[in-house]
Amino acid sequence: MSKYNKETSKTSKQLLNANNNLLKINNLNVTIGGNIILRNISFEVKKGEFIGLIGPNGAGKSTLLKTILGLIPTATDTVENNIKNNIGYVPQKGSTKNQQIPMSVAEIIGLATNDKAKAQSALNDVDATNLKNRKFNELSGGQQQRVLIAKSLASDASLLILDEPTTGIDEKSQDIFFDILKSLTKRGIAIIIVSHDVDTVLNLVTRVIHLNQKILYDGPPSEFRVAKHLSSYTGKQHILLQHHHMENA
Amino acid sequence: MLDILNYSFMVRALLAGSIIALTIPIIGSFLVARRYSLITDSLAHFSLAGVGVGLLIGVEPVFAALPITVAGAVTIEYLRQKRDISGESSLAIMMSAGLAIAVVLASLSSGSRSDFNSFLFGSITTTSWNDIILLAATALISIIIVLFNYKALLHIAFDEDSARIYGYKVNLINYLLATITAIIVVLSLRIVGGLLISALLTIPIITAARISNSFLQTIILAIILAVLAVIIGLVAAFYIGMPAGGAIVIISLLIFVISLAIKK
Repeated sequence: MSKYNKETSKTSKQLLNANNNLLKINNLNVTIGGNIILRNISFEVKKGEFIGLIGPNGAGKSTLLKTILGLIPTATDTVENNIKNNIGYVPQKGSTKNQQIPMSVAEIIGLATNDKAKAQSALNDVDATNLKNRKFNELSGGQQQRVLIAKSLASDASLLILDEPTTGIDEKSQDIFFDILKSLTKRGIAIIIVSHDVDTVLNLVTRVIHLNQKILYDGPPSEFRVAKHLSSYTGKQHILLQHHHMENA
Repeated sequence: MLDILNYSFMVRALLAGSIIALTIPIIGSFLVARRYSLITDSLAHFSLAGVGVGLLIGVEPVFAALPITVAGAVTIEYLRQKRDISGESSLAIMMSAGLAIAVVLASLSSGSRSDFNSFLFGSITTTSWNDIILLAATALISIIIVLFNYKALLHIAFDEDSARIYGYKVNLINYLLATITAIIVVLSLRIVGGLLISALLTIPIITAARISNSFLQTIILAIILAVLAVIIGLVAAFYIGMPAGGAIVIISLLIFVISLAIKK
């Protein structure tokens, strides 16, 4: 990278700090095997935001997450990540299941930090102190999700990305889980939650991003509900949402 | 029992077996955790091709097998990472290729068939002091490398993507693990044999995993079980007069069956 580019990058990061922005996506395009997966994606994530990322199967949600996480390479400056190494990721249930060799909860939190006090406090934050010596793969789905969030907190994550976190979790556990997420956003931690369960997401988050290759809507859930409601009468959901997005931009 | 210690070949056998039993679970746990323990089988078969080359050109078989097996390990890992061929298929291809080449080369070589058989089924009682020194040095280096990268390996075993997000060079570490596995497999060839090495790797770890509460506990318990299996197996082989490699694996299996009975 040239000296000029480095300075440019530094300036944009200072701007990010000034605006409380954790992450900025600038006109992201992703093509895999000749297929366009994501087109002209631009958005910012600020401290304490609770974002629901929704869209049908194949909309590019997972690709977008992987891009944010740095698992898919992008053109320089497309993803301005102000919090390198401080993004916590809670994968879809199943990716860490059925371990051949047991791992204790303490070991999993230990992957994120060597500081025992910090590990203890992270478990405390998700009400999982009593799970410390349990085997991870013997925990319920809800407990596993909480442990994975604690792992992220132990590594000082300022942005949490949760991919379909409520799949297979009973309603009562979901409520506990959501309360924990809300308390984290109050502490300034931003959360992006990906879910098929649109109604649940709309009741939970403060901002909705509706994705289908491109961003169709980006705004508060209340207005998304109105747009969705109207579309059932007019059948013009797509146009309406696009219009809204353009107004927001 | 102590009279077997009067035989220096048995002392060497116990020492060599214990070094292997100490090393294999430390490396093998990370393979079993990722459902990749079959790599040992593939590499063991591939190393037999190296033995065949050694016997054919008149070079010490272990030294001929070493570079060939490491090359095999790197190829398997490369195929797995490219994901053009599934990990399982690439292991199966390498396993069959290795054994086929080994059998053809061994039949062409002028060496006796017993030379080749000793690498197939192990010949722990012919272990020399030089073998032990080489084995101990390699084992020590391998263990140090694994301990140095323990957290990264554990993170990869838990979730590869998560390890990447934390900034670990996952591909490089996977190549390193495959290479170390190849080296240990080759050095264990003469002791437990190419056909039995993956059993010694897998069975104590699976047994330990059933009764442990953490990864570290599993490694420690697997080491204890593997060392026990080696010692009991060698003693049994000495007194009953059966092949040592087979006896060690049968004892491992017996311990596994007992663990099944204890914790259903």
